[in-house]
Amino acid sequence: MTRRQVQVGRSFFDRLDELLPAERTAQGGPSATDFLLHEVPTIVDLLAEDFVGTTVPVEDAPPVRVLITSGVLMHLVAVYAHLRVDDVIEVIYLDIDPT
Amino acid sequence: MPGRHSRSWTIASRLRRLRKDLQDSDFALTGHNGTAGALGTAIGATGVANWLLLIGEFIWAGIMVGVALWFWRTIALTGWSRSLGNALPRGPRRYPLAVATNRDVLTAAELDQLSPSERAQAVREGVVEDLDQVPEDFRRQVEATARRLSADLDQSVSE
Repeated sequence: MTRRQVQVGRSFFDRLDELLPAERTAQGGPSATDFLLHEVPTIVDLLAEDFVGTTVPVEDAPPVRVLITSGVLMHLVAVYAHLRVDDVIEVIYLDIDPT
Repeated sequence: MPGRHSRSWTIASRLRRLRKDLQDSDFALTGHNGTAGALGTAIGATGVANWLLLIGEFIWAGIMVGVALWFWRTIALTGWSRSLGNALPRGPRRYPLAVATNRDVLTAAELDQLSPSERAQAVREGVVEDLDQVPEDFRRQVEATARRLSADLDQSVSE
């Protein structure tokens, strides 16, 4: 299976800054940098290797597919992406399960 | 009476005892050798043992506080305080997502102890293959967000 190119949009980083602090918390909670360093590279790899196989579709939202993983820093992370007409995967948004 | 000490183990009672010893001593502060001399004599005659015991108790209390802080920090880091039967996973998760979501996640500091390949494997193994595996609240949030993003994409394409 050929790897696809993956681009991460600005909206993803804006959302990441909303969800995680710039620095680790006093309790050892992860920062946005931790997430970028430790989880995003693997997520990008998964999307590049097998976009359809590692993501799930959402009813009534055909262009957008979601990669959901339990990761190691958070209970659940949802990464939203879509396949552009130029066959490039664009990561556009992020959600983190707060529980 | 010099040499007769309370068996109390509390610092407060030790201080009270020391004060009483000084007040009751034959070498009290109202002695004839001046205040400084009287104080030194009183402490020397009646309080040395008490002072030593008091200092020892302070040292002992410090050790106990240190041990308590170390123990608290250790159990806080490993999550034992949250669930004694829910030990910290020492490596990537190798259990189903339904179990994984009920466990404590690693802190960023703990994550530093994992190798890059272990971290990557944990992320890979945690990938959800069906939305039904996701807890309902989060699934609803994901579905709503995906629909909103989809509508935004459709709108940007039409423009």
